[in-house]
Amino acid sequence: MRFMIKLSALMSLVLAVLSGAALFWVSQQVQEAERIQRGLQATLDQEHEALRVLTAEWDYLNRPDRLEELARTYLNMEPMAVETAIASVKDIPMVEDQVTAPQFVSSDGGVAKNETLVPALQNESVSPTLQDAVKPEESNFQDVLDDSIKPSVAEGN
Amino acid sequence: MKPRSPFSRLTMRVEGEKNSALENARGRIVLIVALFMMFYIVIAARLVDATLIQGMLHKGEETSALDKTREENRQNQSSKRGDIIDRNGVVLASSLKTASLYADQKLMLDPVVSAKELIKIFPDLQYGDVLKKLQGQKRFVWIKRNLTPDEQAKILQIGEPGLAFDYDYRRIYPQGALTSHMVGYTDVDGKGLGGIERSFDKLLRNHKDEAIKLTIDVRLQHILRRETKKAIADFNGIAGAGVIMDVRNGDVLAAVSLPDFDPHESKGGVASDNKFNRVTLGVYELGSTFKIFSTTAFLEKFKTMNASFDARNPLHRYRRVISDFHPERRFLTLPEVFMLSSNIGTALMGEKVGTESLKDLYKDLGLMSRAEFEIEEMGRPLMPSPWKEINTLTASYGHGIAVSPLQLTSAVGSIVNGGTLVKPRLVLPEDENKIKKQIRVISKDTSLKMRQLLRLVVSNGTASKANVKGYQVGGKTGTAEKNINGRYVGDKRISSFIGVFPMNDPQYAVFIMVDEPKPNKSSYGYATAGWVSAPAVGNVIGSMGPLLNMKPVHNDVDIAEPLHGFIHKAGGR
Repeated sequence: MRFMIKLSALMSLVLAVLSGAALFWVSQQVQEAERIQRGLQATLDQEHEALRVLTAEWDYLNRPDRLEELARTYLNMEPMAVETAIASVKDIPMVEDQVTAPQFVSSDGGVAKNETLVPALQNESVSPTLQDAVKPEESNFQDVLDDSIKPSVAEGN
Repeated sequence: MKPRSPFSRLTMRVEGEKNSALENARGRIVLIVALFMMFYIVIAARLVDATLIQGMLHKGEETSALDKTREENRQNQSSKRGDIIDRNGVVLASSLKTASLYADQKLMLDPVVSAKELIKIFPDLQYGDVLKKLQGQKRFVWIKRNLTPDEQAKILQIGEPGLAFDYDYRRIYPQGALTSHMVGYTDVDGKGLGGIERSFDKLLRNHKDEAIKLTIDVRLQHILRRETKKAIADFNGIAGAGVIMDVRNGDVLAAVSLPDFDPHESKGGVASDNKFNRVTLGVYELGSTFKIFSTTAFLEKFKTMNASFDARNPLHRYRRVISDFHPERRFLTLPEVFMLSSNIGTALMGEKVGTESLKDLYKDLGLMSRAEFEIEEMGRPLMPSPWKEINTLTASYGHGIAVSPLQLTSAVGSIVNGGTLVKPRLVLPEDENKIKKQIRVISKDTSLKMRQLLRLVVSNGTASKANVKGYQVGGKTGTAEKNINGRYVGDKRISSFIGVFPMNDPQYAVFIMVDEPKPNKSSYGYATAGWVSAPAVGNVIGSMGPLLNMKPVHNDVDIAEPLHGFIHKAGGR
């Protein structure tokens, strides 16, 4: 009986020590995790702040008057006037030579078959600016492209 | 006797009754000793944890308690505010965390070298002053406030532990003076003192991480400011104002008051004249542009354009003489009166409409009271008081009644958009689709007739310089003599033009006003609205149309075409 009691006491002592150690370990882990979290939060805040600074700087550098000045100084373009505005893609004068799609040329100088780049042009995202200016329902974009594509495809074949 | 446990003395055996008592006592003692031992073990473990383990883990994370508390204090009293952005998300005002440099003299390693480095970074600082600030035993001495990130990086490069940073928020306006009057400005403590900053002060303080989205479009704002500025410069004016409004919903796309100011410099040195908001707070007698309202009142009452007015001689009424700027000396049809901007004709029109009807229309259009708007700097219109019969006649051509440019623009918007009231707004609502109650002010029929008349002024009348081919611009000029101390001064004028386009389906109203323009050579000695403001509005429309992807239509029928039958003699300017 005495031995039994001693064993159980020993067991509970061991358990207590173990659980104490476990508790200590867990608390250390939690503290460590919290420390990491604090660090991440600080980094995040810093990044957020940097982002705000950069956004403000971006908008500062994109001030309309500054862009206008820069465009006037460095670009060979002028503001779009109503007279020069083209309301429909069809109004753009097409020069046949320029419209011919670029082609892959094989090393022996001949034109490689079926490798024209024309299909890429059919992708709608090719010319977003032009598309924006025209309401979708009024867009004759596809027709114009098809017209320009046909001869070159025939040529490729 | 071989060594026994510390409790060995207790192990002697006692027989009988006392045996159990001793056993009991011994058990208790063991328990107490065990408890104490555990207690000390815990303390020892905690000591190891606190001194060794924590120390090892925190290696390299040096944080001085002083810094931490200071930063916390700052954080609490920091003046971070919500952002203000334009309708496309361009930042108009933002609170940025900026570093300020201070010296902790106790930690200073080499004040002389540091001072030399500092004056390299900040050429405006004096070497002697800086050195004085770096030497000594003080823990906190300001050196330079609000550094740029670049400057801060350079200071960190010096590697001087005694140079430390303190952070606080500073209000930055990336667009500078462009939107100064509408967005407003703040004081040093971040308190809003003007424009949106003032009227939404509480909201901006309490919702630090949200943004207020305005109806302003910085691109249009720039166009309007550029052209207004140019008109003022060309004609040597003293001030000006401009508004671009979407007449379908009252969105103020641009509002410019010149001269303006840099909101960063608002603490001092900016003249109050520059801070004065001429768009909303200033009220002006805008002259002939008011003929739009009297003509509307006439059409609303008599429902016909088939009327003519005797403009052969100046009008004598109530001991006042009303005369025309460019006298035609004949009977004028209603479209002619409007197109040639005849004071006599319009006064007769006002007389026929009557005081009550005219005042009712003014009231319905919101011209009789302070306009409701999101900023607080709003001017109260000036009305004749008491309103006598003669005032009806003069008010019909814009004399003796003063309103703000914003009010005029929204009132004209209400007339051309089909006849429903336009309430100007500066803050973009979150849910655009929410259908609000529409208040009808005039009939659709009158609205259509007014569109024709406004178009006629630009296609045949006083404002031909506002025309932009392809956009069917309509509008009305207004040249008013300035009323200074109760007397009209002939050579001090206010030239204004309100333009609307496209006239067959009005979308935008553009208003530009120039204060005291002086004639120049290119205008052949004229400083009237047709020469000053109308071309400026034309330029604005020519620039903003393509920007807003509006398709110019060159072969459309001019809506003023049916009115040409009323015009008997081409004339006017």
